[in-house]
Amino acid sequence: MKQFFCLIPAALLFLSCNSTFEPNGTYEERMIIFSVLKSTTDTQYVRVYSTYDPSTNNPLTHSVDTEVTDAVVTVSGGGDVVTFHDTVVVRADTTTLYGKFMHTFVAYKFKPKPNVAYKLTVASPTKGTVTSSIISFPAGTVTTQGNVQSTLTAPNAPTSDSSIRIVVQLAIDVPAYLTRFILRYKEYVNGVWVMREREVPQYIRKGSSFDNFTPFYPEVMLRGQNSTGLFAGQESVNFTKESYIATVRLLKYTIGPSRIEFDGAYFILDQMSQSLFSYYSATNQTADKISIRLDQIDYTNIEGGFGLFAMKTMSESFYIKLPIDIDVD
Amino acid sequence: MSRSGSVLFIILSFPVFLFPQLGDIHGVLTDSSNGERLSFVSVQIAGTTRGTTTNTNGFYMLAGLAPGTYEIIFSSLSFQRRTVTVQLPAGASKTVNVRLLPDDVQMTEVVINAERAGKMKDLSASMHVLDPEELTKIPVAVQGDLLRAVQVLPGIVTTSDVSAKYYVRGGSGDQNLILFDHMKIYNPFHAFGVFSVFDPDLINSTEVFTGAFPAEFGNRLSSVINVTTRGGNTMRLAGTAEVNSMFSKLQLEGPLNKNVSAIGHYRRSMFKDAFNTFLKSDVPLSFYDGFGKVTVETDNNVRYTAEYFFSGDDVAGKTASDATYQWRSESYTVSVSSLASDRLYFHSMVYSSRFVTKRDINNNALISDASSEIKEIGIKSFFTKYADDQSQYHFGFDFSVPEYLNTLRNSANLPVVFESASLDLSAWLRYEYTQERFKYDIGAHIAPALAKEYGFSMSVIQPRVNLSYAVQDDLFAKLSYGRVTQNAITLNNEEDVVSLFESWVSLPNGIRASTSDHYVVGMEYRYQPLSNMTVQTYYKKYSSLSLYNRNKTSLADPDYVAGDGYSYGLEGFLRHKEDWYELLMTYTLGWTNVTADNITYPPRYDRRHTINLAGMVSPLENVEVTARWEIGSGLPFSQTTGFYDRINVVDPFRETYDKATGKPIATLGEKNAARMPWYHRLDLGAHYTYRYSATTKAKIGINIINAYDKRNILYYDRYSEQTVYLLPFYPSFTARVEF
Repeated sequence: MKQFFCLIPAALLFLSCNSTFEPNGTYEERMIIFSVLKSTTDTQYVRVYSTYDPSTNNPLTHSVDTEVTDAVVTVSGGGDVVTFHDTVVVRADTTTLYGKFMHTFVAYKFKPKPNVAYKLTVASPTKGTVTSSIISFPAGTVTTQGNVQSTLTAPNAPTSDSSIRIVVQLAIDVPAYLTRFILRYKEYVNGVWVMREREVPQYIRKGSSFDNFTPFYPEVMLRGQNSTGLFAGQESVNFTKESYIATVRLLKYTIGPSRIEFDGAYFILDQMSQSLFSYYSATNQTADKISIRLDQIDYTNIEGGFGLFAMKTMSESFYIKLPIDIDVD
Repeated sequence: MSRSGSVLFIILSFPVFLFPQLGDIHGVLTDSSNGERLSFVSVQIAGTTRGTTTNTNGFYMLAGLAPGTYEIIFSSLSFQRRTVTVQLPAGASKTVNVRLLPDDVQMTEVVINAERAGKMKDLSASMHVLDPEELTKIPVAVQGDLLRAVQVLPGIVTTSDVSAKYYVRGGSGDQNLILFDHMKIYNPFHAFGVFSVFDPDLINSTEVFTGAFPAEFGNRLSSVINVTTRGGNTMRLAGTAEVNSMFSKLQLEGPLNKNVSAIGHYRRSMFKDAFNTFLKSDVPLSFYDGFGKVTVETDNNVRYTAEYFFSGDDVAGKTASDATYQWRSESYTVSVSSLASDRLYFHSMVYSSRFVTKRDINNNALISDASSEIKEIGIKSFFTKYADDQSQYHFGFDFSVPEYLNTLRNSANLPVVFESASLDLSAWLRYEYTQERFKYDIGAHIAPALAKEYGFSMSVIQPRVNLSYAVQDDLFAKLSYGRVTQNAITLNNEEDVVSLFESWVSLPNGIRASTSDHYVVGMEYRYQPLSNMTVQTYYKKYSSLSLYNRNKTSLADPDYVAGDGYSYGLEGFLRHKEDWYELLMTYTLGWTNVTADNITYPPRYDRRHTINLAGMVSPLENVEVTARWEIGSGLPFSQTTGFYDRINVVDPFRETYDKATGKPIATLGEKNAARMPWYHRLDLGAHYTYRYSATTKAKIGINIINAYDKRNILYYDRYSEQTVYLLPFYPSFTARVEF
């Protein structure tokens, strides 16, 4: 028996000398789809490309985009079938190894209708067929609460509110949303008044001087996080008056009081589909610097492939007219 | 008993059950060199097979003896055998306290002590007892370490040199119960697991159960490590000072008066560079731990203790924008143990503990603040009723109020807030019976809180059975079964190679407690007085597993996913002693599969073969040379089957992704279907002891980790295609003075 036990380590060591390490398995080619339908435009895009072989490509030096150009791309729903056409566009980032241009599929005059089940089908004679489905949703509504008009017009007046509060009404099943506060003004440039917009931070952290502050813009909010005391589907969002005053003051300072005329303000509500939120969560994964995770969170709703088919909407509040000059001193 | 002692006794103890008095001999055993109580010492009546062992308080009882004269033999491998003649009148209960002289022969200790393991060891092949001396003899990176020493035992698997985290018979890392003087320790590691918070110089005894553990243990599915601390030297002022390549420490102990002793200990990290070698990263890490204990022992063997334990780890940011981390543990215990009536021994305690871990992101926008806290206060009592010389009843309860508070974001940046407070009550009952060749220990661990979920079932009254039959005088057959549940888990996942922020949660209502059943069959052959071998097989079935959903990307996704699984295997254990050397060899052959989220896979710690060889030799007087060779087959991992460029949605509304270029992400093949290369490593140690006097000695030593510099893989970065290796050849030095 003792001899038997002594043979075990010798045998195992012999085996261990012959063990090899193969980090890559057999390459499995899949199609990657990326498409986010937008309610604000009638031009929609579908990106189609594929995975690449890990045994012959290093992902950090990979320089050839794996575009799939032979696919037939359709989106059907609500009794319509929209066929996308292939085209070439300029990349948002032209400094990558992939060069300046990229292939994509585009459809014009296609604006998704609310509450319709849309099915995306991508069929390639060389890569196969993948599908995905979503149900579209209507745009939400955004309204102001309290004395927003007077607060924005005369923020230092005693009757003004301490913060700027809005309430949004979300569509059913929308898991996450974003609100934005936009200030519109005219700037005198080369003898011409040019209309411009500036987003107001939700709050600021003050710095050493009035023009030195750290802005914090609204982040994606989860449904239900600010719904206390409101009707179903409603959420409230506050912007600090301090950040509004700081923004106005900064604009007047950097442009010059005589070269700026304020025009108005409005609020935007963006809504995202469940699939877009899950994908957003997956792609913004966080990790401790010292933690080591060998897999990565991934999300896809593409059957037979990877990527995303999603939707987002945008809606605006009514426009709040502002005086040409706003007293913030 | 003093007035305060009486009050404490009334608070802590149950009503005393009175049994008919028979003639008994009882007492406590202590070490004559320092007055420390001795656990697991064999107590035998000469010329008979009747006997017992001391418990963790050094107490023994020979119950139900007829009047007469008895020769009682007290023996332990570490001490000189002693025989005491006792005259027992009819119906008397006689106290016989005995002091044992330490054995001067250095090599009488063995790596894993079978003789001192006592009755439970006779019954269960899945129990091991480690002496403090043994902890220091297994070569490790810097200093003897409890959780490193445990890893040589069969059935235990580790995945990394840089982590003392261990996996028992296919169980995950959070399925191991670690008790420090019966208090639960949630984070027993320093420096991400380089070594444990338990300094060997504080430890009196350590019991390790790798399966089917006795009824008093529960709420962890896979194993129990039960650490009992020392009470301090009752004879004289003594101390230890040590400096090594990682930390320095000081320990003082001694009598405060005739009946009171105290021990104090403090350890603090010193050398950052050593950590960087272990952790493979420039981590500004520091840690400390401390322990204080006062013990009062009355003349009639009533023992009171009050103790305080604390530990902390800090990771400072290298720059002002780096996140900082801290871990803090502290616990207080007051306990009393005594013979309550003629045959009823009890040990009761009130305890309070707190574990906090925090992440402060400072100006780092990539992660979020996080905190996790567990507070617990409770009362626990153990009772042993010595019915006669063949049977004992063990019973007790643990009543605690744990509070869990976790505020953090998961990897997908979703808020995770778990708050819970509960009343936890568990109780147990064991009956232990010994005949000439047959021994059994049957009982149940009772978890009433699970009745709402499971009804009146075996998950509420969890049976535990250990049977042993002596086929021959030196050959024993053993059979064990136990059901265990667990309702607290960590939010991390075993898939992570290194996980920095670990937090515990209590499973909420509606989530089933995890459940496992252990079946163990084994044989033990004691072929020489100090040598034995065991072979056992085990099967562990997880009929319910609740796992944290680490892939949650939406609030609509569940926090937990249900799973199940099983593990089975074969374990061999050989301990062989000759005049000039000792050898320990363990072998584990195991399979584990987990099913969760409709995927069945071997978890990352599913090591098929694990073998440990440890040897000690004393070639010269005062010189010890030790070696440990560990071999393990490859751990599972998922192969890369492709890459694609995933378009990152940094801001879903402010940017256009239609023309964005993605970043590469790997697609993975079948989960954990491939295996890493084999692991093997040889560690060597040599120590020289210089004795100034009978009580003062200095010890210097060298340990060499990975003596032949095997490049074992820690992980492979799929994107940079870089392989990161575990510890290289690493020598370390230690110097120590004891007085």
